[in-house]
This record gives sequence, structure tokens and C-alpha cells, in this order.
Amino acid sequence: MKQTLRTITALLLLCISTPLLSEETEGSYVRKSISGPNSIWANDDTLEAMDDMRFQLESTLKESVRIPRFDLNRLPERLFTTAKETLKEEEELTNATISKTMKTTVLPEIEKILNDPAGQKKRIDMLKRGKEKVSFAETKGKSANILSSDLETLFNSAYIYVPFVKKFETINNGVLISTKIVTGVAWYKVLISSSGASTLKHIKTISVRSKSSKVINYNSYDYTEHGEDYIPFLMEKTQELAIKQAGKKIQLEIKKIDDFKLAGIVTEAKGSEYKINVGTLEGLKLDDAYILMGYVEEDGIETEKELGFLRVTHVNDNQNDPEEYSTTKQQLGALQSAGGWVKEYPRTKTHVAMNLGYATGLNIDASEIPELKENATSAIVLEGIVAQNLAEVLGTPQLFGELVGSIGFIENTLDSGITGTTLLTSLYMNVKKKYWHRRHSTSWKLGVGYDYFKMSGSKPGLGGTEDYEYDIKAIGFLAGVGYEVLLTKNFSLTLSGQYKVTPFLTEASGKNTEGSFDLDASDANDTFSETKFGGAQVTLGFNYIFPSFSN
Amino acid sequence: MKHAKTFTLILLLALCLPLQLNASNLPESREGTIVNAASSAEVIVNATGIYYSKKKFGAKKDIRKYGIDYASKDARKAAVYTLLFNGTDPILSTDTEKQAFNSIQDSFFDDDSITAFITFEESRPSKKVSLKNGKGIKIVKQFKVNRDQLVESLENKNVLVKRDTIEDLLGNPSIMVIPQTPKGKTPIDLLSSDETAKTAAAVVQSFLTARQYEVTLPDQQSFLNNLSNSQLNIADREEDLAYQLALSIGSDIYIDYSVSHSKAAYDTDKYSVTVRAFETTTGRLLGSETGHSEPRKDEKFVSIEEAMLEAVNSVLSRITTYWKSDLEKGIQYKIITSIDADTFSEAELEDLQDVYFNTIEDVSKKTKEIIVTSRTIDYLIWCDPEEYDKPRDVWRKIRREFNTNVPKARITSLNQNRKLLLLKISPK
Repeated sequence: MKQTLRTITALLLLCISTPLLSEETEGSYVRKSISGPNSIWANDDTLEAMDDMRFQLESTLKESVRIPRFDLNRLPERLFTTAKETLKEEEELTNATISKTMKTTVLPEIEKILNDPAGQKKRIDMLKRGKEKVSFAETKGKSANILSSDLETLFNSAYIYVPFVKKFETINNGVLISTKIVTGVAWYKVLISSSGASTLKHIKTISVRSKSSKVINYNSYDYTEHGEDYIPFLMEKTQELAIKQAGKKIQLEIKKIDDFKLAGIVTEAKGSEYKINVGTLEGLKLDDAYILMGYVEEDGIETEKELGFLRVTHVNDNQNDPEEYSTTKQQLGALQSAGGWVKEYPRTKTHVAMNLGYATGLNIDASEIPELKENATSAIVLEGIVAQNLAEVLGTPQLFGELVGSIGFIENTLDSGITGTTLLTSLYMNVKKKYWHRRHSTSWKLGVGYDYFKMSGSKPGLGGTEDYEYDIKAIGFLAGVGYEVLLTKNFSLTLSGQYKVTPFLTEASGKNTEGSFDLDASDANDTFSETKFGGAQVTLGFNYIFPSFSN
Repeated sequence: MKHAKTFTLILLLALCLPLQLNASNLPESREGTIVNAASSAEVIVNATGIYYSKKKFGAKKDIRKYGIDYASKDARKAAVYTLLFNGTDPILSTDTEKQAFNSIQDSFFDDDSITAFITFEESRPSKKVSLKNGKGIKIVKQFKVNRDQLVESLENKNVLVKRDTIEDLLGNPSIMVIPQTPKGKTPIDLLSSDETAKTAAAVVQSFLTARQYEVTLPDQQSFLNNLSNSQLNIADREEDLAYQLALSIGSDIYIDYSVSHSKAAYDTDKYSVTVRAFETTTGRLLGSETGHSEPRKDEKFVSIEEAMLEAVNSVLSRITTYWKSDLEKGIQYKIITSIDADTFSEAELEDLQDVYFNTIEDVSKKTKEIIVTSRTIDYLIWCDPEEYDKPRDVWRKIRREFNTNVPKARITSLNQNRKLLLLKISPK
């Protein structure tokens, strides 16, 4: 049994950890130049469905694509319009037909841009940025020293992107308003051979689905605020959210394309701290994940290997000075010296965690809830957490906003003949800060939230059995500490402790032998003055970082 | 107890043994590639450095903390080692030089001494490889090594023959530089009309003068005027203007070059420069090398200079080797003697030829007959530089001996320069 359990756990861990090796080559990232239409490509029905939202979607997709790692080649929109019109005549829209059409319409203009001497010099200067000048020609006066190898890199680092929408649908079923979007970006690489012959190669079509829903609630503030425009308002809201979500998904998928993954050289190593030559210029962000790479000689053969896993702890502004190196810290793998290289490991900023634990110190007082034989003071707790890394927004690494939902099964002793369940449900918003040392982290958290106590069941009464019920709500505050150990890039085990206080109840309702009751905050605090939902809690669990958004 | 002591002793000896074996300062790695010339004195070398931790415990930590530093030191040594021993034209080219170097190699490869020759070192290794499960490290770094300084240092340590010594004995060698000319064109035409040829000539000139060679670039008409018809006829190589010019000027060596251009990838231009060095007296090819520029956009002259530097660097190494071997044989002269044969009887002719041959043998350490006819005798001779350090001394000796021993004829000098004696035997 134990053996089987171990095998299952190992398989689970293997499934969770994502493939490590990709085709990214050693060394620094070569900036790519991109060109694409300002407008989205979609059929007439979809365009009609989008209506005014079309411009918002276009602008969101543009933002998702035009990230700092790219240089944008601005092309006249008419070229793409011509391409689109030509494609309309094609029987079947395939990557081959798109490539063929782009080759005759857009490609010549890109070639013109690539051949522009001023632009060429500027981009080659960027390519050679930070590299030491050694050779005779490099050190010779004002020599620009543009070599064929530089031109080869330059001519083969241009890409065309085509943003498209396949589906844009907003449905109102009377209860929910939902927007579903299927959108994406097709990527083509411009290949120019040494003799000047050019071709377009389709490298990837990113297609994402996003969905957003809102409940129609005529008692809500929004209805009061918008009145007759409530439904259009909700439709717009769901569309906006779905568009935003699609944009985020697309951006992450773009970063995952091998050609576009950032890479850098490890310039310095001090313990588990590594300096890398990637920074704001390439769009590096705090807490971004990188894989540490190096060569290892085994049986006389040199092979490229993954040697560790790093997290960005400080981003330096290398726009003006390429020697301004950013800092990363190693979390997994044996420590290395400088001289290797790193490559980007794109993933979401969203974490999920599940914890199972034990809470003690709460007090469900038997004198206030007569069905209890004695005070209930402990509970088995199951927590589910969704956390968002706020480092990019707040500028502090490993700072998280957490939404914690938990359910506590309170251990109680009921009088004989009484049956029932006692649950404590909580919803808390926490701020959490983690401090890592290699694969281990300690953390603190502060939170505020809402506790909802529910006890219901039946007990013997005068006319047989009668139901009883207690619903008590309270506002609580918590503070806690935690420990985490990273097992794979995205998966870690956690141990946390917290102390919660619920200083006042907000309402109480229910029914018991004395009849039904519905108490406001003041009466609830008077009636259940001894009942507290706080106390100490210890949990064990796991944390998982989504490598990509689900589609 | 006794066993324990013996065991400890053996263990200590075993630990000390590898240290003794590795005491040499020679590089662990001997790998290096000469990339190209960075300037007339400096060479770019990609060298590999290797370091294995000798620590029994904490070897990986040792590698992580100090591996790159130690491997870099090894790479520096490997870069110098490459110039000394590897490649087509190593600095230590003869067995004598290698033997002489063996005696000083440990002190020569001392860390501090090696650093003096390194004018540039890449701040970070271009490649790093983990060896033996992290207990060793191999790096590749780029260096600029001052080859001239390296040679000078070896001369001072008497591993190489000092340039001054050779100069004292053989005189400062004179080198003529000339472009290869197509038929019907003279070097002067080419140098005045072709920018490429002019640039290439200027690069060679600058390279050679930086090394204090006496350089002649026959870019004036006067050089051609000096070539009298008689000289051209005697030299018997009417087609080879460069050879004739060199003989006429009296250069020890002459270098000719040609520049060619080709289109490379992405509409870039690539230049190749072929440099050939010849021994003037014999026209023997001493070395030929072709240097290539990187395929580059525009900047023609930078490319020519780059290609020329690469080629001339190698050719000059071969000239130096030739020059050193010349020192062992003596100074070489070409002597072309014409005989007024119609004025002598056959017996007289034989007698005076015998005397002439004896005289030549007396004056030289070694001789080589090129042409002997009744009218012309063409000889190569090697003279002891300590006895005859000027061509005039050779001429005096020949004149004195021949004129004393042949009563009916006399020998006269038509022309003489550093390498050529044009003589004539006529009746008294």
C-alpha cells in the first residue's frame, strides 16, 4: 500500500513539474523585430458581435504582443489590408496561404526596413551591446564592423504577427451574463537567406479561450446605479474581463515560444545569488523564474544541462548601461560559479494551495448553545487558497495577495439524542510575504475576513424530534507564519501556523427550543458573548504555481 | 599500533605524491586557437583553461569559489603555450630553441610572468564546462597576447637568438615589398593607380618598419631605371620583374602580395591577401600565406588591413626562421660573372675558370653552382659573416686572388649590392 502511495505521489509530482529542456540557445537574448496589423482579423459575424468592444480587444492584444523584448517595425496598415483582402479570395485559409500572401504584400516592406542602413546600424549596435571590443577591426578607429554573421542574425530575427478572433459571444440566460472569446495570434518568421532570398515560416499560432460571467442581481448596487442600463453594463463588464483575461493568456503564451524566451549570461555568482545581464530593457520583472543552464562533460561528451532554478529578486535598469546587472537567487539545484547562462521559464503569477490542519482555542460555548454538552474548542480545517503575486505591482518580491476559503469541522460533544453538524466557514483576504533561502522559505501573513458558524441538526422535543439551527457571523483578523519547501519549480509543501481573533459578531440567527431568533450585531454580541471563532491553527499542505492559464 | 603508524606514513606519502607530480607550472590545458592578429604586435587567442580541485573534501565548493580564477590562470598559460608551440608558425620552431626553453619553462610559466604578455583578457569565459561531476572546471576565454613582447622575453632569456646578434653578424635585413603585377604592368603603375594595392603596401610597410626592418617599396620610376638591360639579361629571368628589382636593389628578401575580393553572404565583401616571401638571391619561395578578412559590409580598407595582417604575420615568422638558419650557413651572395670568351683560347679559358672556382671556394664556407657556361658563371656562395661582413670585402678578396693568379686576365666589378656581385673577366 505504502509503495503504491509513493508511486502515485512520485507520478503526481512528475506530472506537476513541467518539461525542463527547450531549444533556446546559449547566451544572451537577441532582440526580435516584429510587425503586425493594428486591426484584428476576423470574419464579418465575429466583427459584428464585437461591436464597440473590437477597439478594446485590438488595443489589449496590441499590448500583449508589443512587449519590451521586441522592437516594433511600423508598417503601413494598407499592406495588411491588402493581404487580408487577398486572403478573402482563398478557398481555404491555412498557414501556407497566409505565408504566401504575406510574402507578396508585407514582406517586401519588412525587407526595406531591414536593409535601411541607419536602422541596421542601430539594431546591430544593440546586438553587440555590452560585448567587449577585441578584434583588429573592432578597435580600428570608427569602424562599424558589420559582419555577415551580424546581418544573418538581423535578417533572421524579424517576425510578423497576425491577431485574430474566432469567436466573440455574449449570452444572457436570465441568471448569468457570460462572454466567451476565442482569440489568438499567429506568428510567422521572416527568413532571409545569405543570397537575399526571403521566405516566411509559420512558427506558432497561439489560440486562447477566455470566459467571464456575472450574476444578474436586481438587488445589487450596480442595478441601483445603472437602472435600465444594468444589463448592458453587465455585458460590457464581462466582455472587458474576458478581453483582459485573453490578453494575459496570450502574453504568457508568447513568452513561452522558444524564439522569444529571454536568456542572459550569469556574470557574477556569490553563494546562491547570481547576476544576469537581463533587465528592464528586455522587460524583466521581479519574481520572474529562470532556469540556470551550463555545460557538463560526461564520458568526454559536453552536453547542455539544466543546473538550477532561479527567481529574480532585483531588476536593474539596463536601458542606458548594459553593465547594470539584475539579481536572481537560486532555489533549486547545486550552487554554480559564474559563466553559465539562464533562460526564461514563463509561468503565471497565480498560486493555488490546499491545506489541512487543526484549529484550537476557539470557543463555542455550551452555556450559549444548549445543544452542546460541553464547550467546543477545536476543529479539523480544510483550506483552499488562491494567491496572486503582487511583486510586479508593488515592487516587493514575494509579496502575495491571498484569498483563503476554509471549512472547519468543529469537534463537538452533543447531548444524548441530539444529532447535528457544526461547521465554521471562513473567507479571508491576506497579505503574505515570503523570505526564501534556497528551496526553503519562511513567511508572515496578516489578514482580515469573515467567519460563518453554522450548527444544525435535530433533537428530541415534546412532539418527537425538532430541528435546531444556529447561524452566527463574525469579522476576524489573523496573523500567521509559515514554512515552505520547494520540491519542483512549481510545487512546494507548506506548514503554516496562525492566530485568529474574532472580536465581534456581525449577526446571528436560527431557531432552538425557545423559537426562532434573528439578532443584529449588538444583540448577537450580547447573546453569544462567550463564543469565539478565533484561536490557533496549524496546517500542512501544498502550493502550486500555474505554469500556464487553463484554456 | 605499529601497523597504524605504518599505514599513516603510507597514507601521508600517497597524499604528497600527486602534489610533487603536479608541481610544474606548465598549463594543465594545452588547447588554444589563434584567431587572428589584433595589431602588428598582438595576436588574439582563444584558450582553454582547466582546473581540478585537489581537495579531498569540499572539492565542489572549491571549484565554485575559485574554479574560474584558477582555470583562467591556466587559460592564460595555454594562450602563451599556443603561441610558443602550436600553429603553423610557432615561436619556438627549432629543436635547439625547444631544448633551451625546457630549462626555463617552469619559471617562464609562473603566473606573474605570464600575465605580463597578456594585454587583454575577456572578463567572462565564453564557455564553461563542469568536469568530473563538479570537481573540475574547463573554461574558454579570449586573450590578446603581445607576441613581440613574448619573443623579446625569450631573446633576453637566450632561448631565441637575439635580433641584435643576428643584425650584428648579417646586418639589418632589407626587405623589398612589391605588388604582384599582371603582364604588361609595372609595380609603379599599380601602386599609383590601384588604391587596394597602395593600402596593402602601406600595411606591410608599417608592419615591417614597426619591427625595424629596412623596407623598400619600389614606387618610384628611378627603381626601374636602375635596372639596366645587361642586368636583366644576366639574371636570366626576364619575366620576373620583382626578382629583378630585388636583385637590383639588393634586398635580402622580397615580398610580393596580391589582393582579391569576393562577394560574401548578405551582400558583404570579403578580401583575401596572398603574401609570398622570396629569397632574393635565388628567388626561392620562403613562405606563402593567405589572410582572409571577415565578410564585412563596406569598410574595404579595414578588411584589407585585417587580411594583410593575418598573412604577413605568418610569413614574417618564416622569414625569421630563414634568417636564423642563414646565420648558421653564413651570408649568402649571388655572384654572376661574365667571361669575354672570344678573347681567350680554350686552354686559357679552362685555366682561368679553375682559378676562378678556387678563388670562390677560398672566399666562401659553402658554394652552389647555378650556371656554368663558357661565357657565364652563376654561383651562390655563403661567407663567414665575421670575416666578410660586407659585399665589398668579398669582392676585394676575389679580385686580389684572381688577379694575382691569372696573369692574362683581370676581373672587374660591374655592379654590386648587398646580395649581388656582377663581375666580368676580360683580357688584360
